[in-house]
Amino acid sequence: MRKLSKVIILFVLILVLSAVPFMVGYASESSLPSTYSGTVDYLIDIRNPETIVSTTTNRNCVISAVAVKGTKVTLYAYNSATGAYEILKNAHGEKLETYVGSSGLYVQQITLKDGLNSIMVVANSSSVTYEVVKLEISLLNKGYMDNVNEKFKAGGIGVKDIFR
Amino acid sequence: MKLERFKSILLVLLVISSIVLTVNKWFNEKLWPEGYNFFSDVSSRFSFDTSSPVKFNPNEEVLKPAKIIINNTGNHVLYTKSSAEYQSLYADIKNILIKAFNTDDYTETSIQEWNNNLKSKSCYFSYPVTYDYGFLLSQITNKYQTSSGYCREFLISYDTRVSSALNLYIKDDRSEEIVKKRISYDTTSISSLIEASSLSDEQNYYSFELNFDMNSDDPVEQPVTIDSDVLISITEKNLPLIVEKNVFDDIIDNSSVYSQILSLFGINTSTIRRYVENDNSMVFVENYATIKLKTNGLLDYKAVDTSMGIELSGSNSYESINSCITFVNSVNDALFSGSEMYYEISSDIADIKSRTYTLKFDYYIKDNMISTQRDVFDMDHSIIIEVVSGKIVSYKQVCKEYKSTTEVISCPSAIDAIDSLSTSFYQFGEQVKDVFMAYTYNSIQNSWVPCWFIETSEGVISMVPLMGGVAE
Repeated sequence: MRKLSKVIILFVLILVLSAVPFMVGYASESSLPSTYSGTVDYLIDIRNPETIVSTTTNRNCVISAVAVKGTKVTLYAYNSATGAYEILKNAHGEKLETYVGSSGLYVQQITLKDGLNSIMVVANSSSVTYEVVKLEISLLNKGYMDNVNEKFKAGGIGVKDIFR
Repeated sequence: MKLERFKSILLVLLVISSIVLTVNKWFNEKLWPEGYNFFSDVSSRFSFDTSSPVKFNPNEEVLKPAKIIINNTGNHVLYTKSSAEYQSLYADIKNILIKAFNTDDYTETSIQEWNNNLKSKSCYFSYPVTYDYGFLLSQITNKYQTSSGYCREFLISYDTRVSSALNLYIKDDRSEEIVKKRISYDTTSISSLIEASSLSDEQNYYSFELNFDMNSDDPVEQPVTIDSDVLISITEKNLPLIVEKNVFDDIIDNSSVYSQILSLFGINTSTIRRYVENDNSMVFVENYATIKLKTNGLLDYKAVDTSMGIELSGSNSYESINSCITFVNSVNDALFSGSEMYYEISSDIADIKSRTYTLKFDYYIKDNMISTQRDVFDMDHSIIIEVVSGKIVSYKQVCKEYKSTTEVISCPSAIDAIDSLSTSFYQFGEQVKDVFMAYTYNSIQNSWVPCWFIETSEGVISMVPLMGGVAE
């Protein structure tokens, strides 16, 4: 009898421990490892940016998506100092997490920093069902674009000017 | 002998005057209200004189674009009539239109080019309704212009490296075809206005930028699509609460108000018969028309016959429409002088080839429409005028003055508003044609509150209240 109860406790413990990583995902942790990945691929479809790797000159970037109703969408940005993705917050210090409504439409504007921005979109429908999409958005600074424009005006631009 | 000569002269004069009056009657008016009218049809066919100036053009304010959107590489700032930026931009827009309408050179272009310009530096503007292209040309250039096509949306784009020319894009509202006109124009002024708009922190995006205008092959089902040129506000907005004042409150004791209205409708107050209905509405009856001033605020003029209405000046449809809007102006000036509200046209000015038409208008305050209480007034717009053969035969207007208060209401984003609709709305892959904000009456607060209105492909406009619940 005692042996049976030990087996049951062990089984429950295994169940609880195996669910920890999923629960971490659903609770919108403030930080997630760079290796974090999803369990499904049918919760969210990112519409903008149109590709995983993109380039822009606009500091204000909008992320749009279509997602299953009730899905919680949370945005994270990669922090090279800690080597982890950290949850993004708005100007009021609120986490950028939104529940998708009946329309299935999701929109969120973020402010990009100069250079490469690694953004992670986490869509949760339950503690064990979540999808992760990682975006690489490069912000070209104004000086760079001014330089390209000046070259155009001067009448010529070469490959080395673009990749300088 | 002298008497005989005088009689002959008199007879000749009488014959000439009878001929002139008969010709005038035949060619200016329909002999029958309906059906074939040879003389008036023939005269209207030849009535467009392309060289003569429009006789009057007092309606520019009513016929201005409803909105101007400045696009600056991903930023989209919406300007409406109440802003100073709108007036500065409109001055440039008008000059550009005059230049464009004086040139016939154009090239056809694609929706991709149109959309690409919306994403770069450009200025988009749209009118509240679809115009006959010829009518808009005539208004802008002050000359009669006949031209086919229906327009509502325009786009001005320029190359930052060329300051002496720009492109004007015109989208045909029916065929969706887009034409481009290259115009010599100093872009310094408009480019500085566009650059200044980049300082704005508004967050608006076109549906096509968000890719909400089409379904994809992805397994995630998209319940609703939004037309590509709908501008979606993704942030909350704060708008003031509006209160109303019924102009016809205590109308029986307010003879100055009804005397003014009667004189505007050309009615002699000394000879007219009048009586008061059970609900204290005043009814004035003359030989050819009846005017009711209802206690709910409705002014209702009706001619007894289509040939007996209020004569509008103008010998063709364009002049008649101008004259009709001038009449509405005069009524509004008399009723709401100095008010912060204004009105805009709500019915298309397209396919109007004769002097028989219906015009509809709605009130606006703080750049948002006041929705008409259909259950109270049995009409969808605040002002409805029926004109037959150049005569106003029916005129209905909600005579209420709307004023903004200091109380502010926070409105959700457009996406939140679309989400608020019931799930059943999305069962058939519904398409949203437009999302806009308008004021609607709240009987609990006895005031007007801002609400999102959603126009669907079925033509239905659903209302999303801001505080709890969902109504459709």
